Amino acid sequence: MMTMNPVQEDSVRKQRTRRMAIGLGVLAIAFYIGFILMSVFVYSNPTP
Amino acid sequence: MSEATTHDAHDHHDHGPAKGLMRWVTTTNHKDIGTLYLLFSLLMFFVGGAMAMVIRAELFAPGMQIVDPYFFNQMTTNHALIMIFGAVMPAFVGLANWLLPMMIGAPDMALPRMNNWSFWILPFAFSMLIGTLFMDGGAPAAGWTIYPPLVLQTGDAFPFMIFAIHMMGISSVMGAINVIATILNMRAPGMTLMKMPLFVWTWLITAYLLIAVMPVLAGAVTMLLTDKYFHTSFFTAAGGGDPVMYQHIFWFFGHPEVYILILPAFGIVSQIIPTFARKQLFGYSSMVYATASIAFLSFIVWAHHMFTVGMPVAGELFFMYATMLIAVPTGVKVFNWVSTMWKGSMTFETPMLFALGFVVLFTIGGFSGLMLAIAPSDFQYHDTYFVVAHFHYVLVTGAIYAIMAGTYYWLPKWTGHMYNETLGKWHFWLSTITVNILFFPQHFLGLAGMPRRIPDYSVQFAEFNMISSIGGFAFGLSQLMFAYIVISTIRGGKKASDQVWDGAKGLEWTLPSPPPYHSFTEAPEVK
Repeated sequence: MMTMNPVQEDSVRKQRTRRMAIGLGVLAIAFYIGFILMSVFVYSNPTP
Repeated sequence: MSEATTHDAHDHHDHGPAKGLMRWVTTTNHKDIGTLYLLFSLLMFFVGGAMAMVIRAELFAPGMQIVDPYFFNQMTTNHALIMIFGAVMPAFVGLANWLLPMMIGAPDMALPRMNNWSFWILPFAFSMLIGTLFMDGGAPAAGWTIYPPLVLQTGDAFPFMIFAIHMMGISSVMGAINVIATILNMRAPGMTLMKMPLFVWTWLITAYLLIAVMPVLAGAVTMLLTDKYFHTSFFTAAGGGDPVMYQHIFWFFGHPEVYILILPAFGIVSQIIPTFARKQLFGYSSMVYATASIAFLSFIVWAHHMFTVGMPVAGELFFMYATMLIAVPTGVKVFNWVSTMWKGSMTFETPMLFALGFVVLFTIGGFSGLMLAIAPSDFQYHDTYFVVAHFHYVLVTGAIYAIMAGTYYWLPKWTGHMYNETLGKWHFWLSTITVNILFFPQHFLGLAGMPRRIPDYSVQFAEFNMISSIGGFAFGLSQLMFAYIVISTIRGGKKASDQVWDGAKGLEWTLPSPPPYHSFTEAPEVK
């Protein structure tokens, strides 16, 4: 495996942190929209 | 040393905090932000506590005493919202900010600017929520669950409450993202996941819960907003909607929220008991798996809050058994804490007293929770004072006791000063005696049939209510001691050593007391 110097390691970690933060943010927004859409679906298809 | 690291060392210069008010407004330092969260939480604890005093004063005797019924309902609603979102949650985020980087050997949180933003949203959210008390039609008064159709009758306060809840949610989600990014990316070399302190583990799992459920609450309240102002009928029966759907969505958020309020408390207690028992935590890995199991189960038990709404029997059975299942991992935890103490060289300093108080009294709340989980029994207990007694044992002698235990435990590390041990013990004993006078009689009131959220009651409930109110006032006054102890320790006192407690283990104790502005500028090696 290729070894990285501390600056490269730091840069990779920063990139990973940013990607993780964006991913988790998108997940949170998806839950928000998802639950509203689910409610729209339930509302437009009421159980008899 | 490589060229790159030499260059890095050259560029690096350690700097302390900025001066004046702007230090606190613009800070990106985890310790500053932790302090802001903790002080904000203390302030909200007293604001929410003042509302509880109004509630207990009104309930001191039967008949209408001090406030009108509508204002009473505003007090119950805002007391709960402020205590949950303003006191307990920010206190845990404050502890996380202070401790996570120090426990995992990181210099700061992974996303320091977002950290600043997460905090500074909160004062605006709560100013807005508390400001609704002065609006036409008063503050929201439909209970913290804000069930439609009742909540849709709220006056001018309605959109402000919804916006405040959105802001609290955004703050929590940003805080949770920061916690996950920090724990997964910033650990010191050698700090594997299964070497992390239990407080870090419980917060990692809590952060995932937050990301999963805070948006659900936001979705629910957004739909309330559109129902009121944009003519949708998600929850309005007259338009073909279903108010019960709101309850399902709310409790899909609400039950994991209960664990958001208690899992970090488990983490704190798991740090404190081994220190004062001078033994390693019994069953570390089982603690981690129990925490994860509780988090998973929290997603499949929500309808136990609504057994009386009219569900198919199969549904009631499923939610009943799933709820009871939570007793297993929770029991594992209590067993492990007790086993940690078994044959330990125990001493009973204030943090340990609060941790022991937690173990005993939280377990009482757990047992009454089991009683409530039994669907046919819940038909009797539902919406009575038994429920109020149950969740106050879990949240006051559970979450708040753990926060106090954690504050006494780490305060000497944070400030560099020892708190006054005699006063700390007085605070513990006064709190423990009065909190039981306050909440234990509420079990009897509930079993006798006294409903919750009412300003007046039948004379048969008079004695226990009077006892409960006396306990309430005394408990409220006891907490002034806590504020005094914390503030006087910040201002000065006996110098604390770096280790502070004999049996304390973990990276945070390797730092000086108080720790430097930037915790670990060079990552420590963890063996």
